[in-house]
Amino acid sequence: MGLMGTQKTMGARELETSTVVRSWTNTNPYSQGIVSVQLRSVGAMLRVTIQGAAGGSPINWGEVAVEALYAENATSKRGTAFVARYNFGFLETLLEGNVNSGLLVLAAFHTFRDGSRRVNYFSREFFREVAQ
Amino acid sequence: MKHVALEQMQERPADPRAPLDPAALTGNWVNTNSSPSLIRHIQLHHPGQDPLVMRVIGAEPGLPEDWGATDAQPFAENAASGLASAFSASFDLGGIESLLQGYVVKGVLVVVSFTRVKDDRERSSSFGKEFFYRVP
Repeated sequence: MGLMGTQKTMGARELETSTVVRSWTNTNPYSQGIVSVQLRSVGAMLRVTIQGAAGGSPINWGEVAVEALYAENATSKRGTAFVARYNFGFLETLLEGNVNSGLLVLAAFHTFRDGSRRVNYFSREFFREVAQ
Repeated sequence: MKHVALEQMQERPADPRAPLDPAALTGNWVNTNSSPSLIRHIQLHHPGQDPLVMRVIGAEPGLPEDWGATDAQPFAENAASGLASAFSASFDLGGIESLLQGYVVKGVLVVVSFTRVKDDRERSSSFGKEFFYRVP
């Protein structure tokens, strides 16, 4: 179970965070993208940690702040979606996640910033909660 | 953060002469829900060598009906593909910012919205998903 808490971002209503503040693992054990996702509350903010796939031994992308938390609709105060961003220098990855029926759906938009003209690409993966 | 996922290390450089083909995304798209919550109509077009341009006609009371046009960034399904099948775009609606991600599945455009409240209005920042079909 996630910890109870709330988050407020820039002019926004406070949203309850327990739906997303959990540890999540990819439903596909053979993923070549993201292996696991962990969200936690730090003070009034949310932070996310990603473990990427790397041939059997996950690579820690590090922890970044969640830029914004979103409710399931305009009148709800239950946070069910988030946006976060990783900047690797040569590559920027925008993460957009939402929880639906206990499943975290995570879209990752990868944009190359190194002038290599490699193709920007996206991925969408699914994660189930890990019991703590 | 020096680490990258294996997926990102395996990509094959694309042909620099060939930008992503946006044909799967371009056109006029209408919400499958005749009473949509956020977006009624989307136009995506690709004027020459310019970026992909997105125009939105909104449906939510309290927000502008015409969101105007903005650049949309195209994305391929993987780093080896030359076909754009997804996009990301952001609209600043004055006190509201809506980040849209879209992707095409079997001819349906799925648009996921992350609408962020930046002022003090009585509305939560919210997530939504809507579906669109292409019209001539």
